[in-house]
Amino acid sequence: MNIVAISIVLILVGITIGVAWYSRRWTRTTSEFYVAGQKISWFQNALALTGDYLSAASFLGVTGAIAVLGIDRTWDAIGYFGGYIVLLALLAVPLRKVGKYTASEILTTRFRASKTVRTSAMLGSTVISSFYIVPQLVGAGALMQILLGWDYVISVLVIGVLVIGYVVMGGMRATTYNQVIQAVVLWFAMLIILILTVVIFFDYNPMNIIQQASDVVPPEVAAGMITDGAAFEGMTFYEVIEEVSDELTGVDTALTPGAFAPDWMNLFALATGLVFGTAGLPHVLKRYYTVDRPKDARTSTIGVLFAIGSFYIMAIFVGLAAMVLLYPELIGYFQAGEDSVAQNMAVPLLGDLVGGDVILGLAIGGAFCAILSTVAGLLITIGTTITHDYYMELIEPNASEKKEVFIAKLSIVATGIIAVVVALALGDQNVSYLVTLAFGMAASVFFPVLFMSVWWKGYTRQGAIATMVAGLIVSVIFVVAQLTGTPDVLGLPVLVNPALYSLPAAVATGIIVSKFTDDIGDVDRFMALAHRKEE
Amino acid sequence: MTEKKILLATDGSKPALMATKKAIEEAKVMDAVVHALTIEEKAPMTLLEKKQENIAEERYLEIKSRGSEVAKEYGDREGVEVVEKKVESGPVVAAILEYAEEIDPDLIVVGNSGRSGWEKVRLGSVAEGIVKKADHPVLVTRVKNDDYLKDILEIAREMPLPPIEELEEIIDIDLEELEIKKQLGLAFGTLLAFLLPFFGLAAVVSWAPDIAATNIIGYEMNVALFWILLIFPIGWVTAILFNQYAKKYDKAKET
Repeated sequence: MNIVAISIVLILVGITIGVAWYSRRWTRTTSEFYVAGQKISWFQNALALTGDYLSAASFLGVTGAIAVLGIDRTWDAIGYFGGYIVLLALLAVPLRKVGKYTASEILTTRFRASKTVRTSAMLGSTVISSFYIVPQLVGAGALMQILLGWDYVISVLVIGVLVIGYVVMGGMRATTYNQVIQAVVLWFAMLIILILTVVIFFDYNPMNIIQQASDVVPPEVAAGMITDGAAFEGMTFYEVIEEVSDELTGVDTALTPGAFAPDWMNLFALATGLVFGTAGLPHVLKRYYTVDRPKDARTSTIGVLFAIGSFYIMAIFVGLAAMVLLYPELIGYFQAGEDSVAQNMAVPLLGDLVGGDVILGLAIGGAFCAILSTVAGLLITIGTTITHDYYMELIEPNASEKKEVFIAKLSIVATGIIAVVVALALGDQNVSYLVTLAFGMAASVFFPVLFMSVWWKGYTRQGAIATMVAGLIVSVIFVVAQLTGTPDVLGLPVLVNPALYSLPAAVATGIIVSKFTDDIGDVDRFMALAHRKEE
Repeated sequence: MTEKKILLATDGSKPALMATKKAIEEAKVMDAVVHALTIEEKAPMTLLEKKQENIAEERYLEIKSRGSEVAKEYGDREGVEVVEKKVESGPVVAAILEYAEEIDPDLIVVGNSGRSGWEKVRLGSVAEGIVKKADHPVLVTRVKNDDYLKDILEIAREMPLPPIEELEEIIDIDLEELEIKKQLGLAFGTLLAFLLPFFGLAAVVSWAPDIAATNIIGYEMNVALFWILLIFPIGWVTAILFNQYAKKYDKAKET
């Protein structure tokens, strides 16, 4: 039992929840005045967006993947980053101007409401958001393993129950400030770990991390090629690196580009899924609801780009440093079959190495806050979608607010349980990798339909439905095929991300169907709304 | 002699209606003008958060009406002059204090909702905040009984708050003037400025691995890693330029 680390984790989580509760009081009763909240709103929103976005995938998954496989896994980082450029350029401002943030609502605003639109949008949103929850739970499970030594299954069950309980009991009421705090905690946790690492082990120069990583055969590769990790007993990380490199001369190192992306199709599939995924993620788009003015949508997004960009640069250095410093341990975890720890725990383990229990606690606590707030954001998105976009429109339009919130909670519990079950089945996967699959689905289901609705006058209602349905079907088929290890579907090789097939399929289907149908909706009014000049 | 002023803060809830009634009564006695202030609170909350809060608030607020409009209507009936004031703002307490500073009232009237327990911890009390911080005399009211409020409740029920979400109404916008194609051009330009280096990296790694692995600038830094790290500043510059152009575009149309 690591009392210091556990206390720090509890304190951090306590602070996050406590401040989130208190924040609502502050936003009502502070005596400092700010006009319409505008002076700080873009900054606040930028942090809230950042907090929603930086999940276990970024904090644990990105660094963890780089630590075991090297720079080829930096695609997750630059892809998550680039996604916000696509969002900024194409969707952030028009969506804010319309004041609607889900595909269902955008389509209802432009075209008349239809059952099919609402049903397919609700299904897409629920599938993507639920799938996004899974890796968060996987990350939480691995954290509990190293913090408390719990079994993975127990860890996931306990965390799942806690998070769902938290959201249902009242976590829904203070999400924004939760995200703000979480963004700050994560960013600084990463910075502190990087600084300590560079000062203690790399002679005050981060570039030395790169130099040292250049000789290293990535742990995940080495673990499979060398027979006996036990022979490293008593050796330093440096000696082990040398020993393994000697044994595996000519094998690609951590800095060899292209070593682990088997071919161009896989690489482009991943890049496409990531960069177009952000602009289709329901929980990311939903956050723009709290942005006050259209031009704040722009500045907030730019704020996010700076926050996450600097975060990912740190993550790349931290990941490579973890590979070097934790080399024997990472190989050991793989050889012991503890893949989940090996793939996802580089940051906490490095924190422990450079700063002892305190930094270990900070890293795990930060990760817990990230998981808590991201899962809360996702569950709320699911709850809102099912009630607001579906139940209230199609099943019981006159339901009271109380009933509406009750249904939201019910759907949150249901999807939460499904996510826990799936997380139990996917425990040995890298957290960030699982998230990239959710990105691929979002890039195929919602990005094309939102983009074409907002910018193309000739888009039709039938075309929009066809886009979503095609994107959803193709992407789900390829995600399932990928996770079950099916090598090809209908002659097409199954890739690391579905987007290379499903995004073009969705766009093409949308265009073709639109050419043959003519319900372009209330297009003039909608375009005027979406592209009007700011006041 | 300057005219006497009463600042009434009202959100149209039942406790606020009590305050409204009291403010009008006082105005009669003092021969004062009532300035009815309603604040549309701009807190960064999502839709579901707002609804959750509404539900939790229901038992304290009981009714939701258009605060200052109700005060005006009630004032007209009672023969008291009421000046309506609506502001969009952040913190409610701050907005009330700011307005008090502006008009320098002889009295501030606010209603106390009687929240207790968790809700009070969570939401605090606006009345308490005003009492603590205002430089003017403050009168805090509490709801007596519905009989006393009967007349004003009737007015309030006629003037309910609109639902939370409403689409902004757009009238008379010339689509030509919006230059959607030009806006789309700017969007695509921004996109390309980022996507070219982004997919360019994937292309180089895929088809020119030797170039990608070439070392540059020392420290065993190769082209691929350098390129990866360069993607971030490229993104930042692209985003800032996009913002500049978009701002310019908005301004150009105003003139």
